Amino acid sequence: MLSRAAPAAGPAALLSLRGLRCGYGQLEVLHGISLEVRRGEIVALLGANGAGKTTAIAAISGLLPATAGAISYGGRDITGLPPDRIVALGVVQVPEGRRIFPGLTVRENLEMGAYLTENRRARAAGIERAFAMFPRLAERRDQPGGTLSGGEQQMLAIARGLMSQPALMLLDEPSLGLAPIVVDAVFDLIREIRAGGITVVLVEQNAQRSLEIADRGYLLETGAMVLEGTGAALLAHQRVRASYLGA
Amino acid sequence: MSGRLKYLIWPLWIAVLVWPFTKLRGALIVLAAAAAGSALLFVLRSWAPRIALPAMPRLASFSGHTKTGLLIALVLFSLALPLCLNKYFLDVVVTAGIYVVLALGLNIIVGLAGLLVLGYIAFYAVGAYGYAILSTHFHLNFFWALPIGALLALLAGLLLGLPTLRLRGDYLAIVTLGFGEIMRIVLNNWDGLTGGPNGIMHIGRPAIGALALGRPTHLYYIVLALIALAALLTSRLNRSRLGRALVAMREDETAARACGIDTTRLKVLAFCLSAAVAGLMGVVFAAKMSFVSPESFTFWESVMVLCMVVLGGMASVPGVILGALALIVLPEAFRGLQHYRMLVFGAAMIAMMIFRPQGLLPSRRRTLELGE
Repeated sequence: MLSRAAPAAGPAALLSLRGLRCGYGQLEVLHGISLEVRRGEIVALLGANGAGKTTAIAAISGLLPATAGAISYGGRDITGLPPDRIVALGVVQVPEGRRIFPGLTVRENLEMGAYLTENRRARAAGIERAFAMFPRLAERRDQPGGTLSGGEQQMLAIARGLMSQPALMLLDEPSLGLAPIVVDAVFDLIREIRAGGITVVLVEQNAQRSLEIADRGYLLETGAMVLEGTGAALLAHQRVRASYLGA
Repeated sequence: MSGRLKYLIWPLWIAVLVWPFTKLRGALIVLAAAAAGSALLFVLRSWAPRIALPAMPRLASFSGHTKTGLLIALVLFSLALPLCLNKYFLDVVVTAGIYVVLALGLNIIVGLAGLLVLGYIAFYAVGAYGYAILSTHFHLNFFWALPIGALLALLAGLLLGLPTLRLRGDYLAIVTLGFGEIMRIVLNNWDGLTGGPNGIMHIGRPAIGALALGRPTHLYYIVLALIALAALLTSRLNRSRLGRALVAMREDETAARACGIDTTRLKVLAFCLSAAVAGLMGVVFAAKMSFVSPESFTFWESVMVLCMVVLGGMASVPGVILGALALIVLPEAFRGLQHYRMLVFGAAMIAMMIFRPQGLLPSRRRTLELGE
């Protein structure tokens, strides 16, 4: 199934964007994009630098106000909600460039991920779960985040995102600047996260790898959706192959 | 400034600076002295890092026992200090103490939250004038005035903070700078309430019933208690979840928001806390002087408190205390140098920024952020 980025609609949609316009000041970056993510999917959002992928992520997580259009999540309109409310609803962003807190220890970084969990015991239990899932981080629990390697920082950023027990995780360029072996680990982890029942929106430069694990994908070009389809269909599509897979 | 060049340029620069005051001969002597100092520092740093380290202690590197010992010694020393000081020096120490608490208060918003506030003294003025007016008109007791002064300043902080803390850091600096100036001008001109440039006289000194506590020794212990309270509260804040959230926000605001931290609320909270501390100390200041006038609340005072925080080491409680003491006691000790002391002060601040930008006793986190 391959269509010209028609506004998709379905009852099972966990997240949907309709005609979303968004930008910075006078500069509009997204010219009315529509997108739909169903529960339990991995959806890849592809596009060149400056296409607006990160802007879309920022708009969904409430960091950037939408100028027009609507974002709905779990059947309710979340357009214009502040980021903390959106995190509380179960949508968490793992930002591009990892952006862990360098001066806070690994444990404190995780604690910040669980900032909205008021119960101290629940936070501690969440941190222990994260350490069980990421033994490398457990080894370095009292080390400042800034002293970790790039791969470890990415793991920490993802672990921090998981701390809020999200239903939807927005991953922005998780493999950027990582060694190939670490990239493998990151993609394995994304599969694992989905297996744990979390829906994933994956923004990636690495089109090949992300389409391989994605159920569906969208192609964004200069602020507009140009293609939508299953991961396999997009991998085979002429336009994707020519522009993003170097084939 | 990077590399070895700074060791060369710094002495030259100091020499040029003192030239107009000391003539060529004096400037050359200063140059030689500064160059020798700089060379020594260079040798220590590059050839023997092991030797250089103890010269720049970090509290965290001491063991628990050493720390407790140091703390006990410090407490005993502070308690016994009034016995061995004359009235003049006791007064200097009390003033220094007031600044220590002010610096600890400003440290919450500048050091922990990482927001530049340039008009901090305005909140100090709110507390001081609040007590001055309440004391002269209603004979309000000093000890009741302490929380009231803090509350007044907190409300002023809320009024200023709610609209401005949504702005980016640089704007906050400008807005607070403006607020400081507005406060001073209002105090100068609202003759009916503040007495204008003449200020308010005959402010009540601290007392409990008939027991007068207005002597310098009494004030010393009151200020000491407030220092202990402020140090305790701010170091607890440093280690609390709220404190870590403030640090997270300072290190990466976007990432903090993505974690679900309501950064605007957090900033307003930190700002109000800072303001409340200043208001509290304003009350103490008014009671100590028994007189307030707009001259005590100039921009220069805000800058001094900011320098204490930066010099001592942002977000580090012992550092900020040391910075405040250094900036009040040292100029007092060098009073004989007259005009030169400001020159020495300026040169020392710049040397600090070149050689130790993280402050005298930096916090572990700050050091990491600066990439050392």
